[in-house]
Amino acid sequence: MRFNDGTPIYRQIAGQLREDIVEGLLADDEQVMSTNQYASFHRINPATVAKAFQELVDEDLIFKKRGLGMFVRPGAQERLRAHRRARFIDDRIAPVLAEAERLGMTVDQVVDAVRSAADRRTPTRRRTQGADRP
Amino acid sequence: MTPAIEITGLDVRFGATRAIDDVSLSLTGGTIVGLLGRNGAGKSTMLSVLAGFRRPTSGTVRVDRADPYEHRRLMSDTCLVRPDGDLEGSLTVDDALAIAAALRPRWDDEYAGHLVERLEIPKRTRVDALSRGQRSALAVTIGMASRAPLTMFDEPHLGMDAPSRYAFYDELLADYLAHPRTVIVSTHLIDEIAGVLEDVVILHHGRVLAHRAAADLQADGVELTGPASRVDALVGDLPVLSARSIGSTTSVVVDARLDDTLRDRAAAAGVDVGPIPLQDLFVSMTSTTGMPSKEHVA
Amino acid sequence: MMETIQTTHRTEAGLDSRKPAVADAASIVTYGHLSWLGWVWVVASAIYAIVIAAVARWGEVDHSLWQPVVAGWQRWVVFAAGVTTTTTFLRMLVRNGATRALVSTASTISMAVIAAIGTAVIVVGYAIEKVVYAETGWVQGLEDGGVLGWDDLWLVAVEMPIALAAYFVSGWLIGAGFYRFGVAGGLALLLPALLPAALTELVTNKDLAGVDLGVVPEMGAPPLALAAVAGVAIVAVGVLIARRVTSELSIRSSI
Repeated sequence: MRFNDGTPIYRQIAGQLREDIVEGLLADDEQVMSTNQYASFHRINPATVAKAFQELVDEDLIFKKRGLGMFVRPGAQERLRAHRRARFIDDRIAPVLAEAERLGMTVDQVVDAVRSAADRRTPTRRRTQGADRP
Repeated sequence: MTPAIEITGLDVRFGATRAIDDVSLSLTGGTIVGLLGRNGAGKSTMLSVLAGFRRPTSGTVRVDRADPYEHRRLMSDTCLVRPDGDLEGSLTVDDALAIAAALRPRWDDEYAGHLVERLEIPKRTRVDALSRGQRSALAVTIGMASRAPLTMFDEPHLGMDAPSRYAFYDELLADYLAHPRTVIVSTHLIDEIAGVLEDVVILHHGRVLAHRAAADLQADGVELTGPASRVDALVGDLPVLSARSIGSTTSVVVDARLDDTLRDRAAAAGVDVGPIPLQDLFVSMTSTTGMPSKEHVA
Repeated sequence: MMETIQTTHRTEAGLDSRKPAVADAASIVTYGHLSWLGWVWVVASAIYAIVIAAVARWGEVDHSLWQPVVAGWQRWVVFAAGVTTTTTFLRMLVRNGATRALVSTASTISMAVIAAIGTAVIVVGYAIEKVVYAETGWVQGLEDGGVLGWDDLWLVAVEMPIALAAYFVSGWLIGAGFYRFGVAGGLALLLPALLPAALTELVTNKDLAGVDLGVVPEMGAPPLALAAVAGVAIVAVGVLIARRVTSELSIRSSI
């Protein structure tokens, strides 16, 4: 994690944790590293880590077990994915369409581009995609 | 031991110059606070007063609810590390460490030895024969190994190369985690130290320009770049901290939170939006030559 | 109140609540002074020994050679030590958590130690010279015309430490004056700061423990007891003033 690219550090930490949850690296009910461990590992202030954790607690992605630490809320991965799916158009598609417009491409050309990109990805996708598992 | 700091109506004047101008500030104990400000903003003066090195002209200063000036317990429990280290030139490194060891009630000799090694300070060399960076390293070593409940660093990194500075931030954080205390760091290398800070105080012309959590300060700072008309429309009445233009492109730094709403609006307007590093935000906030207006004070 | 706080502190891990202790501060300051002052005395004694040996080998002498070594300029060396109280030790100790009051106390103790050791060196020197001169048959004549007797050594032992302490205090006051008020202010305060030294010259025996400053009127040797009491009082007042001035000094950075 590069901490000096301008993005607030706690956002980067929160973002990284969300990524870990989405990718299944942090499973349901799994314990998250403590604020001090996190702070020590990444050489940042534990209060900053605590703020990142609080964001995730507010989003109900992690919760505190008294005396034990922070744990991933069951269903967090699915909820995060659902949220991202909902934001998919605004976060990912809209910028692509804006750029396509600037380049003078039509919507059909964009769709074709999406399809050929998907074809190129398919061999890699089958190996790592969790959602495609039966 | 994590002393809280309470400053009320502090004025420090040197003849006609007002180094600190009616400052009131509350710092909770047990945090690492960054004290930022341009040269001459009053940072060193404030730290000197907190350490009992200097009397205020007027106003009150309380460390752990007592006035630090000539207070026997508070002065021995406070350590101010200044750029030249306040080191006597004719002493050897060993001597300087021995004197600190004899006077500081919480001195950790083993830790001092570890730091001397890590920062590569030659032990038998005279202080006046050390390089600038080595002198800073020695001052920092004494500051850290003193384990004072209130430890303050006034531009501790002067002359230190990047590896030594990074070692210092490492050690500072690790030791702070192991031995909680109140730490204040004044520095110009803001982005380097940003990760280590919990709170930030910005001084400007002897007054407090901002006092916020580091995380908030980092989040409050958005750069909008694009065609001037679209950027201006997007900015609306958001507080502008700085602006530059080249041709028809304008880049404006606003004091606003970078959230989804702003992102969407920017995308819709065809304007680039992004966070800015704390150092850039600091430059924008302190570039105005006038006195900080009340609106800026958080 | 302090006692209660100290007790609470004693239970904290890694805390040595005796620090900073007066003994440690005084040791640091005293060692600091003696590390150069001591050499001055050693070198002066060595030069003296060489001169005596040479004189013994090739000639003779009818007056004390130790007197010029110790009776005059020695004071100014101790005066210089006094100046360093502010210029060197104030910052050195306060940056390590001492209060100015502690620095003053440590410096006062140091002043007494320097006065004692300096006097011991002087007295022992006179005594050794007395023995050596007895052997060689030389007369241990003094500047004012008398001859050094064993009784005189008592006078030196009482008045010399007072004189040395007074010069130390004057140095301390002058150093503090220049530090606080700059060159102009320091110069303006030069005469008042020299008072302890000057007043002590008034009350001590010129020949053995005093120095003829030229501007100070000849008073004749006052009785030893009076000189001692007056001298100690002068030094005490000087120390109190120096302490008060020191308590108001800002600890400035050198850059």
